Amino acid sequence: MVDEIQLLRRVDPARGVGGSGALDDRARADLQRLLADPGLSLPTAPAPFVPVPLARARTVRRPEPVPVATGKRWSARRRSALAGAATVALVLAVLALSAVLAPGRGGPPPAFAATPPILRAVSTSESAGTVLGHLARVAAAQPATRGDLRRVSYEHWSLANRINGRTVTVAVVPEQVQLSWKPDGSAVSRVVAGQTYFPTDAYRRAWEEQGRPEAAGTLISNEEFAPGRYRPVYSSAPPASWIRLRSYLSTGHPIDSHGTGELFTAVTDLAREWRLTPAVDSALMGVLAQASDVRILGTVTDRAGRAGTAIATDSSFTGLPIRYVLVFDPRTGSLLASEQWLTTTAGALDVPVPSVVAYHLWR
Amino acid sequence: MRVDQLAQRRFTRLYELHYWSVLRFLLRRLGDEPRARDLTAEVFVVAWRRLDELPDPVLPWLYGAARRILANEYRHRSRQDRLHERLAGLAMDEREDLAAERIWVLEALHRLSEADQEVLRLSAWEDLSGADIAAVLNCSNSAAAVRLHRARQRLRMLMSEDDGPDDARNTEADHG
Repeated sequence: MVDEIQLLRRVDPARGVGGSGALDDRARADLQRLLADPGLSLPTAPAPFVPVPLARARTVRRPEPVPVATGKRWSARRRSALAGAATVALVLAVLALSAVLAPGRGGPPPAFAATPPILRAVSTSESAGTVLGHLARVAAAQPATRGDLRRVSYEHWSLANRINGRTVTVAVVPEQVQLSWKPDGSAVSRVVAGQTYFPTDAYRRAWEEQGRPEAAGTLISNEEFAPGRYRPVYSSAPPASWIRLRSYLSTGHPIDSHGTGELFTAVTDLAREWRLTPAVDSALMGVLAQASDVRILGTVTDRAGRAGTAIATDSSFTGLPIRYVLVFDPRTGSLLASEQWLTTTAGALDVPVPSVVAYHLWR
Repeated sequence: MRVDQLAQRRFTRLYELHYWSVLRFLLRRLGDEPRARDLTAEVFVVAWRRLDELPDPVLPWLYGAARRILANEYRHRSRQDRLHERLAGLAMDEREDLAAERIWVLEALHRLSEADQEVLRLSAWEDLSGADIAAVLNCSNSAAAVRLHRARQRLRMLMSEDDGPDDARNTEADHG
């Protein structure tokens, strides 16, 4: 009798791959590239994240900015629908690699990238259930949304943003995204540079010395997708029942196995392509209220100057200790912002803590 | 010899030893060799960066890194893509009798939860011991053993619902 493990072995999809054990041309080429110029020279740039075990947290002082070499050979492959923490972590990895390897290789000194300020929260004594319940009721009382739900505009910044093939590290250059897509898979997307932010004057000087790259209003991309070419993360409209919404959000986002951080990512991905109706906003509060590790940060003023109620969850699933934050309008229950903060540093990763590593802002 | 040269030698050795294992791991889960190659390179970028902190044995750690990179890859793919990959995995070029068996076994496997599938793959395809499975899944040895045991039971139950190809369950045919 053959047991199930033996049966599985016989149907191994990778049986015979690498049979001789010797590296082939591709494997050798990757190795040489990695040793010669680690971090900047892999053949594709698909947004990996860095599985860094959590290490002792330490706070580092933000230094004067030093231009960081950009990965010219990273290809520009990019999904218009997704960004996320993973891409951020890639840049962190690249920065860390530079930092680790520079002393022995005569490379540039380590440098920190410009990051936006952390939102300050005024804490509240109310429980997550109370706050989310209130937001659900407020949202449910709003009038129905009018207009095309597949037309969205938002501001997005991530430490990994690449503009015209390079990463601007001496300034925070958000992207203003306008996206309109149709059920037939056609879409129009326009992205321009938003208002630039500098952590200190030294960053501003460095930016000016570099010729003010990507000043506000610069066109970053203008794309049209023929029918069938644009593939949204969520192709059908989100349901307004929280049980169905939870299941819907799990499509393509393994919330059950990855945790509540993944839920926050799913919500962000959804709002990048769909305007959320009050009914969906209300259902979303139900989904969030079911997650035991969602906590209330309190009242914040978001990057657009609006008062918001911030909720958060901490996750290190991606290998980086990330705080996922969602900000809702307390008057309407609508989603105002989604942010990701690096809460501690780990291993060789010399970035200030805490740091904002990505944000979305819906207006 | 300089320290960085020593590190390069050590890393090269590690790379040569484990490159194919990592590639196979990714290939089994992606069904797309060009992409699996790219992701393998990324796993080793992470390993290179963490060289001084890598555990011994390192292979479960590499698999753990690959799993996380893979989870991210999945986030960027639609459900349809993944389904397509699965089906592509079923249509590999091979002997007809093996193709029938492959479909029978893999269809049962794919009906299990992702957690069950993963522990079974780690045991059968990566050929890992209980302790190494625990290291990859970041759980205790006993938890890994229980998970594997239960996953095996569930797979057996699903396969018994469909008798499968005539000789698949009762022969020790040498399929390599």
